[in-house]
Amino acid sequence: MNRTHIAALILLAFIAASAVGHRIVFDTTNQLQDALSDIRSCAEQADCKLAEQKLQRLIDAYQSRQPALKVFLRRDTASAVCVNLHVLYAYAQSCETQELLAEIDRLTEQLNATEQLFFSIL
Amino acid sequence: MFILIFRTVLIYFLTIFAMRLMGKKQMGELQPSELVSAIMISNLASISIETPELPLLASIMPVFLIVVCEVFVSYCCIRSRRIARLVSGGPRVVIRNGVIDQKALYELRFTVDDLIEALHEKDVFELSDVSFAMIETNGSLSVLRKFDSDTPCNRDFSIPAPEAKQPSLQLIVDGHLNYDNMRLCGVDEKWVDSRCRKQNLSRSDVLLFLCNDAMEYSITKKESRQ
Repeated sequence: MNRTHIAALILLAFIAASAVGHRIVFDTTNQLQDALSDIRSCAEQADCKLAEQKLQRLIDAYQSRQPALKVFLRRDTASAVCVNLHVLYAYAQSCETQELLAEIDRLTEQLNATEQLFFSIL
Repeated sequence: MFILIFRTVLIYFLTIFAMRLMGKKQMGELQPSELVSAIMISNLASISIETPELPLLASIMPVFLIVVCEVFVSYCCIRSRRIARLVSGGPRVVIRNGVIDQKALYELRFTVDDLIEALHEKDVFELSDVSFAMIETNGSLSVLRKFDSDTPCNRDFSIPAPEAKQPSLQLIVDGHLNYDNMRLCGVDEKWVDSRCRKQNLSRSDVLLFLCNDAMEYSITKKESRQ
């Protein structure tokens, strides 16, 4: 196997790794965005209990995906999302709906920025 | 801290692997694309060591992608002269029959001082001694001296050629046999061992055993390490 073949194999491996990373990050951000819209609806209806439960499930789901995310995203970016989810949970627990809605908007923007960082070419 | 040690060691060995993948040419005189890739790889490797928040994959990927690009570019250069000219350019004659081609020098952005310095490095101190001088694609200067000022060779003195047609090859290095070189010299293990025994040495006592195809050999014994 000469150098050109090895280089081709390395390129294919990176394309495969990028495809896997793309899948993981895209699925996670989509899942988070959908869950956040759900929680936003609960907060608008002042249903703090339901928002709290959904947030708890969301935090658990995100924490299970975090190790895989940290392979493709910067550690501080991946951790910042988790920290913000916990902040949301605290607001849901204390039923501060205005702060909860504002934080949801902030986290949504943060997720959009993360997607931009990962997917955009320019 | 442990992560820093791990990343540094890993990236160091991966960079060595990357440079090996690019080949020996990278270590010698560099073409423009090779210089670019060497600089970029060293920068990327140091960034990934200094930035532990960056995922390892994101640090390693650019390094190896540059290697991949370099390997593909060199492959394309081998297959196509046009691409080779585009990537590396071509050599330019700067001195003809002792006369400097000032236009070529200007286009290459070579100063006269640079040219004189390069000539001095080739042990040329008189411009009139130069028949042809050209700047190669890697920026080095190649000089063809005029016949009158050139170094005479064995042919000029009709010195007969030695029996050996190939240079001395290493048959033993640091106690280890080199079977490929033994085959080229037309000898086997028994012959090598017998020559070592003549000097009261075993194979493991030998630092260097050189031999050419005329069976002329020399043995360097290992010194005791204290």
